Amino acid sequence: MKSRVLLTGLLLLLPARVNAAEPVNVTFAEHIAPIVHAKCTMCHRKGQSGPFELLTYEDVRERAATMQAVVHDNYMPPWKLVNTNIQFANDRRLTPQEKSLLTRWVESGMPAGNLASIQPPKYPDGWSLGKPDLVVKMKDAFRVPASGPDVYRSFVFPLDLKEDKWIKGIELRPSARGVVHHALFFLDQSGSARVQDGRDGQPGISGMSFLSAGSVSRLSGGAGRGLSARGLGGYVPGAMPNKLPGDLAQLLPKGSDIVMQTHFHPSGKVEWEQTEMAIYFADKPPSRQTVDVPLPPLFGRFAGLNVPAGEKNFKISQSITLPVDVEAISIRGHAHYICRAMEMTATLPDGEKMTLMKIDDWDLDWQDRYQFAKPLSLPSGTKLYAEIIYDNSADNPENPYSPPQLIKWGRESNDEMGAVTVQVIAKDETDRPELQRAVSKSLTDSARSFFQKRIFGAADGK
Amino acid sequence: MIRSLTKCLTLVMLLTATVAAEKTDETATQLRDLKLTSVNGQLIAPFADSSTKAVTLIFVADTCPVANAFQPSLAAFHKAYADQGVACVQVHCSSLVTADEVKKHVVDFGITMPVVFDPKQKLGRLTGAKVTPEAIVIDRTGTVRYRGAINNLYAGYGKKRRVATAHYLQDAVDAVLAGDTVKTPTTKPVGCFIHYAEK
Repeated sequence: MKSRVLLTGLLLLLPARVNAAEPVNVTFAEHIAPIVHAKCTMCHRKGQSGPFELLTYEDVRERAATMQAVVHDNYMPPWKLVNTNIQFANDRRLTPQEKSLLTRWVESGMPAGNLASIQPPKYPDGWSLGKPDLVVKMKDAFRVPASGPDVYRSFVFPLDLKEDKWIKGIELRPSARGVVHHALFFLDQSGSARVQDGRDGQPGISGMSFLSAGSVSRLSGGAGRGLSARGLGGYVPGAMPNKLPGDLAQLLPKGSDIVMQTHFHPSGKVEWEQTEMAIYFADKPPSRQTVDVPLPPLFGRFAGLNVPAGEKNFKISQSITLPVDVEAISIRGHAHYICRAMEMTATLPDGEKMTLMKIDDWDLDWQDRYQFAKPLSLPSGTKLYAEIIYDNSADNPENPYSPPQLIKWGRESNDEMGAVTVQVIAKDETDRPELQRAVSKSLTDSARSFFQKRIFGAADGK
Repeated sequence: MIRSLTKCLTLVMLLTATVAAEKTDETATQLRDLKLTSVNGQLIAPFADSSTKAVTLIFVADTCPVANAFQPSLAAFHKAYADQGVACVQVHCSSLVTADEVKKHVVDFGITMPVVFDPKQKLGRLTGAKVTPEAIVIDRTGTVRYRGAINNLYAGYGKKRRVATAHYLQDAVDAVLAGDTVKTPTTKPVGCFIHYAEK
């Protein structure tokens, strides 16, 4: 009797197996090479950041099982956003169809197909954005240790410009691509970065706190002082450097320096990093200027960010209503290690709701700036809402403390902070001051509410 | 009919078990008699030395960032256990890598333990290594006592702890040295998969 059940079970399995076999014969030449060349080879080629090449049939066959694992884990290609039907420029994700083709190719024994028919991808020699207007290089190389925790270090590029300039784009050429995980660009008008540079006997400024402190000084010093926002974006392996769309450009005031915050991953051996930076200027000022709308403001400084030890689902959130019509250009998130998820939604005046950005597996390693495929129209009265979730339990492998301990808002990497920032332009440039006032007000409102709660207790702060 | 089928199935299962056992015995014999040549021409027959209590094979790949990230801790492990009768050998098990690339890797990472170049993937097939880095601990009887991750530094791809909180390889070697059973004899290593070329 048991055997009969077993036999029936076995027979039931048979048709399923037949159905699973797709009729199409998936080959490297016809199906896999175009995917790999479009989504992987950019970094996985000689002299780039990928640890090995993914160009030829032999390269890909050797790595196929690993590729299969990292692709299905959504670790590669690096792209942290969950699909919410918003189109982004330079989207590196593999589509479900591409993932399925890869699986079928691996499962069918990785046939080569007609290798002679493959068109190898072409990449520009030298700077990919063309001839730069200015090239600057780190004065001295920085020693990245062989092992230990990740290193955050800011390097100052003194520019000594005698007149204001407008930046269109920046392209980076790290000397040790394998260890430079990413870099973010900031502007320093105060000159304080130069002063702090090299204080500990090595090139640059240690840790993350310098830049956060800069944000604070920006608050007290008024608009345009200290460090400017990250409108310039940064360097992320895998993202082609691009210039700002339309006639947009970022002001580079005379006398200011570019500060590059670099995140290093020790590779197992000592490496020396001496970055070269190419800067591209616009030939005239832009007709409209971008405004950053960060939620919560000041990376959650006033959002009550005190995450108790063991808390798996700590949430901060904030909203703002746009006072004028805007176009959204790009969006980015920032948080440290214990953040798990973040999103920003936009509820339009007609009730339509869009999720502009959603990350459900935040990774500090990949804090990319995501440019919308085309500017996204957000009419006056649109409510933006951002929510950030933290997991301070021992189950979170990225928890910097074992056992977990209370984590508060702070500037060092073991502290926490968080914001989703959408970069917008007022549809009508004359509306920009009103937009900037609304952004400033959201900061002062949250600060007032924060201090009220502290002084009068939570009940009065409502 | 059904009864004879059951008998048949049982017989097949028994046969499979016997074959598996024989294969294990054969593997143990080969591991006990392990004779390797390092990429620098050094002969390695770890169990020929009667003071060797265990051999740790670590499968690595010169282009695997996860495996490379472990090099400093592997050096520390080698240093700590060399005097206690634990032989440590790194194995490059790939048909694509060249001897020169392996030698360069040894120099770049300052590796002092013996490194074996295994382009025919014999050691990989013999031990069933699947990933780099993967550690395999063998005792004097040729029995595999541990296979898996070096520690839990990586919880997944891109999910790296600040410091490892579970030291699987070290615990396994300590148990073998103490004559105890290894409490966690297998773990799932995180890293780059080894591609086995068709024979």
